[in-house]
Amino acid sequence: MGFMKGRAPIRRTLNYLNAGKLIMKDSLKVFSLHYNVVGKNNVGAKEFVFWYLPQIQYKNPNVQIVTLKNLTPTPFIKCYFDDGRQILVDIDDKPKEDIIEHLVQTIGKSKEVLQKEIEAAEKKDNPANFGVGCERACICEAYGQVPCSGVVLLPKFMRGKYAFCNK
Amino acid sequence: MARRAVNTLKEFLLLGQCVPTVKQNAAKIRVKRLELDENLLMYFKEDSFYYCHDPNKNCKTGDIVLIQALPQKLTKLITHEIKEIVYPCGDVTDPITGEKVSKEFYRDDMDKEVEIYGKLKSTFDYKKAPPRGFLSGRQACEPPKNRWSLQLLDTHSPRGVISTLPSYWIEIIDGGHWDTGTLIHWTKFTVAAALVYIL
Repeated sequence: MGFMKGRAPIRRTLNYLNAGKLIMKDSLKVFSLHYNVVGKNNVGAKEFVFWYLPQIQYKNPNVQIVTLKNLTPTPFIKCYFDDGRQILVDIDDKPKEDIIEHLVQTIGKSKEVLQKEIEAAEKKDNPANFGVGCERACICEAYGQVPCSGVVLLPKFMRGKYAFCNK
Repeated sequence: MARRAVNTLKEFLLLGQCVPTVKQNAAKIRVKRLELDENLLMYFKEDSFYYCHDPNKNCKTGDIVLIQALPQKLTKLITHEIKEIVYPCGDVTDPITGEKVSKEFYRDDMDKEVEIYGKLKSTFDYKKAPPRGFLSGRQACEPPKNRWSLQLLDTHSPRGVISTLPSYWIEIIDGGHWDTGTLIHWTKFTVAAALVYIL
């Protein structure tokens, strides 16, 4: 770790930031967290901000994460979606682990969705792939491969009607 | 200054606080975002300002509002519109209980406490308080006219002193209720005086 300054500098490592569990849904635009500076019921919220907020912002760079202090007596999280929906999460007296678990279940992308996204990313990543969603639709587009049978007729020994009828 | 196009990914929906502005047709909203410092790998708050379309002037200084990008820019500067005033300054409603709050106290609890201790004349009463923003636009004193030219006539040659009327005004924007702990006080001096001496 370089620049081991400040409290818990592990939070400032790439490994830690990449290990964020909460990847928010695409329609979520604003994530606002309200908590108080004093008060035992806010301890979970404060720890959540200390440990998990950098991870969340790193994994969701397009979401505006706002922390508002000393506005209301009890801490809560309010999420705003682009279609107008709002989600209110009461985090009064909750430990940080419970908060993150709840958020992953409610506003986080499900594992299946994430898996599909990884696969889609892989497909685009490998230039050798061809098919739907890739640069080349068919292997026939590559120079040196057998050309598309719709464009150039296959030689007779390769065609079924000649290969099997003379037997 | 050419205004860059609205980045729909990051700037479609934002939460910000209204700050005072000279412009009369728009509300200026300060939006705080976290920007990653690549070297320290640490997030720091960065302010960005947006001018928002607010035709009815519902948004007062200090309000926390939700702004949405307009499908097309209204003017060169106005790119967003005020979608919802989430927490009006000094008049916050706790979303969980639905009660009016003041920082870490519920207003009802404060009233009960005041009743027990006894109410003074100076005790703030929310119901009797004047409406929010009642002082906005009001000036502290009459703007003095021809103040500069009067001075110059005394000390310099009276043959040719041309001065234009300076615009000098103080704008004190009152947030209404002070219990949010932040006094929003904005003063601005603009002295535009062109002085030509002909001797």
